[in-house]
Amino acid sequence: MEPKERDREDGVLIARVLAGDREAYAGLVRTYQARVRRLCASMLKDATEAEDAAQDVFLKAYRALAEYQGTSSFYTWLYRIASNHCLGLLRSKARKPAESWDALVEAEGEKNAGSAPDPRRAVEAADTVRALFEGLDPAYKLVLTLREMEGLSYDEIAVVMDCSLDSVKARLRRARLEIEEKARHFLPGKGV
Amino acid sequence: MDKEPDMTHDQMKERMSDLYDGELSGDDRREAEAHLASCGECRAFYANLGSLTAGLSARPAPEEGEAFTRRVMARIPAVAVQKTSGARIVPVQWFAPLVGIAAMALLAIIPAQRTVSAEEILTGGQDEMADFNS
Repeated sequence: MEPKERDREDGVLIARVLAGDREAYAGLVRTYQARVRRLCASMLKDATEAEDAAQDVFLKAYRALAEYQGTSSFYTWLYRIASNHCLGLLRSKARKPAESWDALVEAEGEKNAGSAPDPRRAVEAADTVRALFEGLDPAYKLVLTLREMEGLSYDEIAVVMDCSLDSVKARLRRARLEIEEKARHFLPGKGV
Repeated sequence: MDKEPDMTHDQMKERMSDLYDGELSGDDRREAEAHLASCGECRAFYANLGSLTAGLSARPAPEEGEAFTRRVMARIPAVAVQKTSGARIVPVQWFAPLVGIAAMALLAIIPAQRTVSAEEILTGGQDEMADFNS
């Protein structure tokens, strides 16, 4: 579905909800549940917590629906609620990284020593990237999630994160530099 | 924005992120591509960005969504979303009791029940973005 058509359809559903048709909200949940659940799963390591958070996001959005102005797409507005919710959960818990990066890098280095290229390495590398991602600062996790996993444009990320385009670029640069620095030992382009 | 005349290696390496996303054009793009061609470290970094994307996007799809939709809808009570200042929300079934409570409150000067504004919902009560927007 084209974005404008999607926006129009969302607008109809939102108007129905605001007119008292509670069931119309199920249409919005169906449309965006996968995206919101992916975002929550990316930000929060625990699967159950992520599912609960995704439900909470839709409840919060329902309660705030009357204030949705339509100046941005509904899903970017929803992403903003989801992003704030996940960041709040992460920061309230003040979690420590799930993995020790140094230990992880060391272990990967030992596995790689003297080994020939192996297709399974790509899968392992993906697993390791995910493990390193879990150890990132929540703000970096968010910007990488929005760009790399959800495929949002810089403009959309700026709306979700309520910041300038330059800030989006700067955060992506820093996030990528940080995770690449840790991951370079076991990625194909190992560096010089 | 004026182009910086002599970017350092570290600055050019940061630019690789913009180049990777196709966000550079004109002289900025040509300069970054020229640096990429001459710098092994930045070539390795650029190559690794693709691996990072592949690694981060390799996630299992969420399970079937209808059950999730049902769970969300089950948590939404008969709530009237009202377009009022601050988007106050009052469950329909509470209207009658609330009228009574409001009348009692006027007499007994009971503080009104605090409701949550839409802005608080959007920002999570405290804007979580504020930490890294500063």
